[in-house]
Parts: sequence; C-alpha cells; structure tokens
Amino acid sequence: MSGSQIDPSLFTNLDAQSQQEVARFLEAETSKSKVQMSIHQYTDMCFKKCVKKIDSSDLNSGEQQCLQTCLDRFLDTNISIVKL
Amino acid sequence: MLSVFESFNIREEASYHLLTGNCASNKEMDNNQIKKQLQDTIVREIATANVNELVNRLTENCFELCFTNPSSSMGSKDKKCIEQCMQKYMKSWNILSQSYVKRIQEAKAAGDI
Repeated sequence: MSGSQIDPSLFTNLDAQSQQEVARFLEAETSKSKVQMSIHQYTDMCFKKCVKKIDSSDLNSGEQQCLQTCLDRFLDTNISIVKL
Repeated sequence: MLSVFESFNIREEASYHLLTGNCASNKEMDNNQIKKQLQDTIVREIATANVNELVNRLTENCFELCFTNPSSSMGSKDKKCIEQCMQKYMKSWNILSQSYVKRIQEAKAAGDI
C-alpha cells in the first residue's frame, strides 16, 4: 500500500499519553484484522471444498452444512495438532 | 474505501473539533487532531487490505468455477455466473465469520485460550 502511508514524524509529535493510545488502537485494530484474514483463508478453503456449482446466488442447505462442518473440522485439526 | 456515511462522519467530527477547539489549549488540540488522523489512517489502511484480500480470493474462486472452458469473449451467462458466485462467496464468508467468532468466544468462556 503506497498511497497513504503514515508520516512517522506525526507520531513523534504526540505527547507520551497519546502515543500510548495510538499504539493501543493500532494493536486492537491489528488483532481484529488478523481474525478477518483468518476468515478470508477459511472461506477460500471451505468454498473450494463445498461449492462445486454456480446455479443460484443462494447457498443450498447442503452447502451451508458443508461450510459449517469444514470450519469445525479444520479448527479441530488445528487444536489436535497443537495439543500433540 | 470509505462509504459516503463514513466520510461524512469524519467531516462532522473534524468540524466538531474546530468548534470545541476554543476551550482546549493549542497543544491539546494538535494532539487530538494528530491522534485522530493517525487512527483514521490505520482504519483506512486495514479496510483497504481487507477489500484487496476479498477481491483477490473472490476473483480466483469465481474464475475457477465460472470459466472451466474460457471462451474468446465474455457472454451474459458468464456475467450471471460471476454475479451469483460473488453472492455465494460473500454469504459463505458471513457464515464462516459468525461460526468462527462464536467458536473463539466459546473457547474463551471454557478457558481454552
């Protein structure tokens, strides 16, 4: 992203308390963004597994069920591996 | 990529700062303005990254599904397929988003995280 980069001198012009507030704000937004990026990854993965045909703009019940199960089993896989 | 409403809110808050600026010292006003500017930039950058990610993954998945045999030109069938695929993909995103957040909350409540 080259368009609107943050000017570092802006940050150093802030008083200590405001610097801390901005840092905390950045941290909170970054962690929200991490969750969103995970959802992008899961959607990509599960959409490939569950949606094979486009003949409507709605998900049928089978596809919905599949997406749900896909996410649950992926997270279970991750948890099992971490616990090993 | 701000919506019309979001950019309106930013303008409104900026004028609010101008109106209340008299009570605050100059130094304090500078601080608040810079802080607001930095926070707005952070929100904008993250939103842009999010939209980019969605557009890339949408394009890849819908290209895969709608153009198994790419023909020499785009037909109305292709456009319809892309449109429906986008809808389906975004509905999938919403379903997975809800379930994922719910599962994180359950894990937190159970003390797993």
